[in-house]
Amino acid sequence: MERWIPGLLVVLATAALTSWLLANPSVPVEPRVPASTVDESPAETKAGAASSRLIPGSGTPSSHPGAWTCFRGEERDGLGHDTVRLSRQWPADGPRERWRLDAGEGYAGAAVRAGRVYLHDYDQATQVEAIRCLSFDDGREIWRFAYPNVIKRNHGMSRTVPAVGEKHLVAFGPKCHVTCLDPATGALRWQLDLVRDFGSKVPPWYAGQCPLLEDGRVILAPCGDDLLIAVNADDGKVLWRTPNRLAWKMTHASVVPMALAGRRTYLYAGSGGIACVDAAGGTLLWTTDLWKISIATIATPVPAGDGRIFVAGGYNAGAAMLQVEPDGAGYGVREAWRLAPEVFGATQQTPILFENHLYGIRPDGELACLDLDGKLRWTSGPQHRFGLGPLLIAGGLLYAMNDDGLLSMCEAVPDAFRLLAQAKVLYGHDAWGPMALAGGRLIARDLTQLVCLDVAEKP
Amino acid sequence: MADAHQHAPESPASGGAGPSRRDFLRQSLRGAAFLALGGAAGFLASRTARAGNIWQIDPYLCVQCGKCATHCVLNPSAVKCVHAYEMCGYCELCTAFFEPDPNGLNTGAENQLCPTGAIVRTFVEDPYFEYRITEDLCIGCAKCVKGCTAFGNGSMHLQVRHDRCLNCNECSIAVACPAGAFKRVPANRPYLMKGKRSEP
Repeated sequence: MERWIPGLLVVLATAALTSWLLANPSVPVEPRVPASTVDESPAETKAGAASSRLIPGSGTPSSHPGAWTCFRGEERDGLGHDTVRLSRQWPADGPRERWRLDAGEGYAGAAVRAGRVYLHDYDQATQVEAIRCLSFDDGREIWRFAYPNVIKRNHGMSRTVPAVGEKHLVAFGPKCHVTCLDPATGALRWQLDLVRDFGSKVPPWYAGQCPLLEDGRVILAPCGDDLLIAVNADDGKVLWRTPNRLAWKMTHASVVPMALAGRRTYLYAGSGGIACVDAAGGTLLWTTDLWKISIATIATPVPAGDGRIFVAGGYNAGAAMLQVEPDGAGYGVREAWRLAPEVFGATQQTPILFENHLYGIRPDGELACLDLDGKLRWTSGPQHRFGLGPLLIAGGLLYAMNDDGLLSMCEAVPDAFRLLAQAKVLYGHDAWGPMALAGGRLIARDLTQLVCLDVAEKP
Repeated sequence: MADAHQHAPESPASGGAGPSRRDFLRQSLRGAAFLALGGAAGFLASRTARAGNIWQIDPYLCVQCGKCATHCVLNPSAVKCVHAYEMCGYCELCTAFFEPDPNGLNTGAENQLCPTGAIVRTFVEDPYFEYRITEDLCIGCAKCVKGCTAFGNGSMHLQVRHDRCLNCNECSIAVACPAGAFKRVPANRPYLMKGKRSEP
């Protein structure tokens, strides 16, 4: 009998193991493994200038003065340089509304020049990109230049600010089409497809790079075969190229000019770090990987004088001050200081340097002021949060919008956060588009609507 | 002084002074109708008064501190993540779903921010993915809300789910909330959802 016991135990154990393996678990178990992502969406149609149309409207240019000619204004610094005096208080129902306009979903901000407002828009119903010219007086459309392009909604479609000069209007589309028009008539000068012509890759959430127009040239960062290029604004021909030897990808940051020891240069924050090229010929002067954000670089570097560059980002990147110094025949870059994201950062909006202090919206949504040594001077506190909204400074006043269209005006001073007025001016969500201020008129937007407000001081 | 009765027209059916049988019936029916109407109004008023106000989170004040998961008298919490789909970008790289710096943009457990795997990510078409909350698994920790708000537009946000909330007189989460985001709202409008356009 005893010799059967081991065999019996083996049989019982096998039966128990088999039943345990075959039985359904009391709690359903599902493997959390990568799922299939097979794209079965239809192929996209061809886009571009070949099928473009110039459509006249009923608007007329305004005689109102003032200009905001590109991303972050005429000096690309987030500051208004008008001499128009701005009101330090608003009526109970907010600043006077001059006009309001529906737009396609997006975050594209306006540029203003010669009584015209320019907006890069997208018409979802007809699937066309539209570069719109509006009257600064009433928002009525003067003309629109439209070309077909299939752009699927992905947190909106449009997200760049055009650059406008006397003879050129340059717009950067969500899928990296760069279009140059006559700013008065809307006639096409040239168009580049950076994906097709320069090997660019459209960034996640579409391109947010705003073109730089200066000295008859357009400076772009294709980040394909070339890191940066300069093209002739008259004909779109390439003037110089900076080879993309590090194979950086395009981010949502924009090219910004910087004076470096008396030399004109251009800065760009790509996927792998920051690059600086000579403005005259595109020679790469230096690169650094001291500042790179793996998910998305959105805020543009801020030149802070004396070879300093202030950088801030989201995704736990925090903020840092980089110092560029001569190093033999070239340049060296070191980190002067760095701040944790709880102290300072910039998820989406580029901070503003004003009177030796930096103003920006931190990842927790609070407005904050830093000095150039990285010391936090003040924050607006948790009761005044601005989410991912835009800001600008003019006449010593700081205007900041929150996600839901509440516009705040405070003093741009380093000693304390001093709120002067608040008004609900937009009624949708995602009021993130960069604002423009020209001739005492402020243009802001939410996801689907633009508003033009009169913020000038009353005579 | 003349008596008013002397001028009243006499009903042909009355056969004398006082209300007729038909008048009596008419007045009785009218009285019954008034009584029914008053009763219905009283019933509705009592229901409204009984419902009163209940607790809800203002998503624009919420700071995603995580206390909703730990301070509710229920376990798991009656606070759940809800999703305003009209605001969502359906992103491939969703900062509510993925850990910062994920190994890959896929549903591998190591890439997911949600500690309970309560968010279901489904491929729609390039480049879109839908993110759906499994409420039974959600513990209201707000990790996804924080991720969504930090870079996106906060289409994912917390709400007290009234199919399970006990509506305590003194909500223990409201006491602990550092942002004052818990509000009393009318019971017939129990949610403060994001995504709707407000009126000028």
